Amino acid sequence: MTRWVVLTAVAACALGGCASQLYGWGQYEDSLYTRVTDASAEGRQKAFGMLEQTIQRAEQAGQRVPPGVYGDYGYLLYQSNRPDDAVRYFRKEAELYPEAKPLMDSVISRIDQKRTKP
Amino acid sequence: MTLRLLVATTVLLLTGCATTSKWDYTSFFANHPRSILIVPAGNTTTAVDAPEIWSTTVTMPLAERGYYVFPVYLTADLLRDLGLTNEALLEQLAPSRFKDIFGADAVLFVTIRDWSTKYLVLASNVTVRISYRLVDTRTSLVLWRGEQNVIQQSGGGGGGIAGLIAAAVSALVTTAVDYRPLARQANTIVVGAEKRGLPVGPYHPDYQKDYAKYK
Repeated sequence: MTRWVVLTAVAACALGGCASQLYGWGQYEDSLYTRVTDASAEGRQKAFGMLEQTIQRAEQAGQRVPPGVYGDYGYLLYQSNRPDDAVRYFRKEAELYPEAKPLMDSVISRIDQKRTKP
Repeated sequence: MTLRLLVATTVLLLTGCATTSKWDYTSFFANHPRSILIVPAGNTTTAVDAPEIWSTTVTMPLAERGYYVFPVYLTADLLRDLGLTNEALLEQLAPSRFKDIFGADAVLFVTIRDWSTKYLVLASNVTVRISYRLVDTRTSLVLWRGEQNVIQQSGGGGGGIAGLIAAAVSALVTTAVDYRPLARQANTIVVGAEKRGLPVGPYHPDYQKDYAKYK
């Protein structure tokens, strides 16, 4: 008789404390992980979709978008040659989190400098 | 022949071991940061991908603790642009530079000390050990230190032949060991540790109300 043994691992939530009190996390960390493990254009696209959905879901549910999410999404938009949209999201990050303002301002001015150069 | 599906419950034993020595929070309270910059982690292990994978697990625990955490991927790329690609270079930099470049109140330096899987006959041990150092960018003071060890022991239930098969199966899936839950748990436990963790930050309802817990 053959026996198939299937091992089940306890879900990550039990191990990692994924219950959020303050934010709608969506797939932010999965998006980061995808970019770290899959550098292809497809991987970037996947990460992009995850972040987009994270933002949409949090906004629709009236949850606060976590620190870094608008900023990171803005950066992906910039990498996808959408500087205007990128700037819009960098501004959102700074509005929601004043701690981010110096960095967002400097990133935005870098983008502006690149754009004014021929 | 009947195929029987036997679901052996993996015995998952998680052991957490935290730093127990006392920490003087005087500097921390005097310079309570609002924002934390995550920089690429140092690594004393042979797992070359550990720092990058770890970096995907730290935003949530720190943000839920009430801190502003800078966008991880954007930060990593900006540091790369500046030629600051490894921990040794980052440690040499004056902490005030992180204030100048990022506007960060504090920088979290991390070293990954263990990131491994050991296979035993009937079980496997996955271990993650990380040390943490939070540095103030204005005063260069070390505001907080911590170290966290998380071990996940899994063994096949049932024992006997089933147990042996379970061990074989778990050995086969070695390439798929996901360290993220352990890294996330280490990060969560170390900042939440009683008397020894990170007092909560400005986005937490208990901001500046929990100091007595750390005295």
